[in-house]
Amino acid sequence: MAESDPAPTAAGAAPDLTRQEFRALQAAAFDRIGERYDEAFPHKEGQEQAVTWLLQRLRPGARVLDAGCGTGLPSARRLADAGMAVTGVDISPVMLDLARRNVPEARFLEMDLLDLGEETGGLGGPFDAAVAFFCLLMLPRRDIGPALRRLHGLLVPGGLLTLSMVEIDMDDVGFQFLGAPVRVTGYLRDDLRAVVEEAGFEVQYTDAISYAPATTQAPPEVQLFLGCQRRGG
Amino acid sequence: MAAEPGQGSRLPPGPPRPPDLAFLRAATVRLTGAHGPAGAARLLCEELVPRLADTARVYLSDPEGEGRPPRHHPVAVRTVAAPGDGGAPETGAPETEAHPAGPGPGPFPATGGAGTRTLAVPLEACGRRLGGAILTRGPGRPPFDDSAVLLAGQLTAVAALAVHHAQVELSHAAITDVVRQSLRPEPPPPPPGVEIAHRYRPGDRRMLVGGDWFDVIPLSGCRVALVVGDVMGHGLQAAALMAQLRTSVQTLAALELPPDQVLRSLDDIARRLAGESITTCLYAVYDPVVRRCGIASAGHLPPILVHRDGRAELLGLEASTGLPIGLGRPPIETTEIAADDDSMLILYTDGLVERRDHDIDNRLERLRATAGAAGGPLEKLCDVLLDRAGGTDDDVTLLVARFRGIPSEHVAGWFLEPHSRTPGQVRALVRRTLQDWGLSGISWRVELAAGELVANACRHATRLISVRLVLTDVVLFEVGDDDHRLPVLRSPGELDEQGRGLHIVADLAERWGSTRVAGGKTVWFTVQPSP
Repeated sequence: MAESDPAPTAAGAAPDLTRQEFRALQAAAFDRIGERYDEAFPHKEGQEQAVTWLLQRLRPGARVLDAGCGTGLPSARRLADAGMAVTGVDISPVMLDLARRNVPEARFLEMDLLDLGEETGGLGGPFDAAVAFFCLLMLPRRDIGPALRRLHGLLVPGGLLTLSMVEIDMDDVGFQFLGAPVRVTGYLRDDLRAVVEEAGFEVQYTDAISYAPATTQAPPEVQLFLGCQRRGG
Repeated sequence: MAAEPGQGSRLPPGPPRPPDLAFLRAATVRLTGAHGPAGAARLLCEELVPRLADTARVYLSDPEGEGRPPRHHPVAVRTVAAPGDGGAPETGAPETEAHPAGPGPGPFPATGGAGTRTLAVPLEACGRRLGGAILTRGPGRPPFDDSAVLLAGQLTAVAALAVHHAQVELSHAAITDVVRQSLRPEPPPPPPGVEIAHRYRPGDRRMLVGGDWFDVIPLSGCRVALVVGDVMGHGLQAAALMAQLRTSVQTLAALELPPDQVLRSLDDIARRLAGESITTCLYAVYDPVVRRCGIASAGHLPPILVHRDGRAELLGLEASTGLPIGLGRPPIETTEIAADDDSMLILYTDGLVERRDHDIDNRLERLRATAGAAGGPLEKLCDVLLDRAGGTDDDVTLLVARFRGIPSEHVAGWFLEPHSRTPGQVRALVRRTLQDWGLSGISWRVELAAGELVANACRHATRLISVRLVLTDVVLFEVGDDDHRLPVLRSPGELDEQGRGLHIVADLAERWGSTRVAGGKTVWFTVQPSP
């Protein structure tokens, strides 16, 4: 997720939704967006560089979790090409279908990280690394810390995590995103770093780029990329 | 000039002759062919000397100051050659020193007459005193007689008419010049992110004005409006309405209205100003940050978009074949196109394509092909397109914009939920961004002013605020919120807690302003990077 209509939707304030309702709303939005996502965001240099940072630190065959894998492009595709064992999860069935077509050799599961127990369940963890590109911003702030701790729990000791967010200061605000209503959350970079460190990671790599989406009425945004290592045993 | 042998250039004394009608006729023809007031004065001297006088001085009033006394110095002097010179009389340039024979300030003296050796003849035409001529005869010649006075008066009257007409012509030329200069479209220096070239060739070669116009109008947020219009008709009448409509478009543009609304409002204005007129107009707004261009057309010819690879297309805008302005409520819509870097938008008027003996579609197609084939600098493209248009008595206007865009690394934008920490957060974002741009030197100014604007926005916003920094030749800071009321610079009372923010911004920034936008307003300022 990277683009947002400058005018938030009328339902700007967070309605009282259960987690299931909230997730269904977000998933439906991405079901509607589908392939248009990659059309609106054709250049993903920041994401490519963050994956490069990760690949430089992994052996071939390493197990990598792609959280919020979307269409599987470019990250799952590149990780698979580099010989990694990729598992992708997403809450949108339409996006997962696209991902399965784009990266047939990877494994994809319709799953919400927050539903996972402490045990790594059907995911087949633990993982040597995880990526979470523009997916945490689909969660309200109260769920981002738990989601990061869940990723922490899915990684081997010393495992790596790269993630990206849009640099915005808001919590669970309604937006029109590529014609679909979604709710969006973000942090300014110092706050994001604090949240990530709080969840048990050491930040080793940061990047911030200005990005102008190739779509109508989409304001340029600042994208944040973090490369982190799991602290603790 | 007749001069009898043995008498040098002087007329022989003798009995009065009847007026020399043949001379008078020839002199009149010569005088009416004078170029300019000074030229008429010179010709008058030549007719007067040596035939009527030994010396003639012609003085002219300053045409600028009607009713003022003539200048101290004659504009033309002619004296018979001194004996022994053997040459023809010389018509001199105006003397540089006050001539004793010259009239001083005050009413021109109408003195002398028959029986004197000095004759002063006023130059008058159409009830205006234009100056005067002073004729003198030396001791070797008899005083002026009645016929000489009559002849001098007749010649001077003709010369006065010539001076009058020359002065009227000069003042017409001056008026035309002012009108022409004020009516001729001249765009400002190109705003950032776009390269501009233009041609303007009025069909009226005498006045050099016409009903065509073009404009390049900088808008807020580095956007720029490109305008081409064509008032039906030629010459001064079309130009006068054009000037009014051009001003109207500038005013509407300043309100940051969308292109279709600008043209719809222009239609209302045109019908009030000149009910029967017909005007076509094309209004485009290019945003170099998001690289989009919104275009609306009121019956105007389709613009040409030339892509980076040279592919050229006529933009078949929605309703572009619709009604022109002036007919009332034209159906106008804004079409948005991608404006990729290094692509070009070509706007023009029908003078560039229209010839009566050709099908307009064929000519448009040929223009499109020419535009696509010509590469290279914009000025060259303009020359090529104008060459192909050939000679025409219609106005020709051409405006070419090459989109350059503003690199995304020179743009940074954020959305923030307004709260008490937000101004501080924005100051930090500004500091970090300017550091990335190597502009820490002006950081404190931008931070301070940005903090004030953001604090204002947070006070009034009910939803997210947006913040944007753009680096061009200046640093632009913008903050948007959902409150429509524009900020006003007021004098705060001594004990007021609020109302100082904008004064701080006005002091720290080169320029600042505010704009209503869909869903709220944007307040902005610019700071010049120190050299």
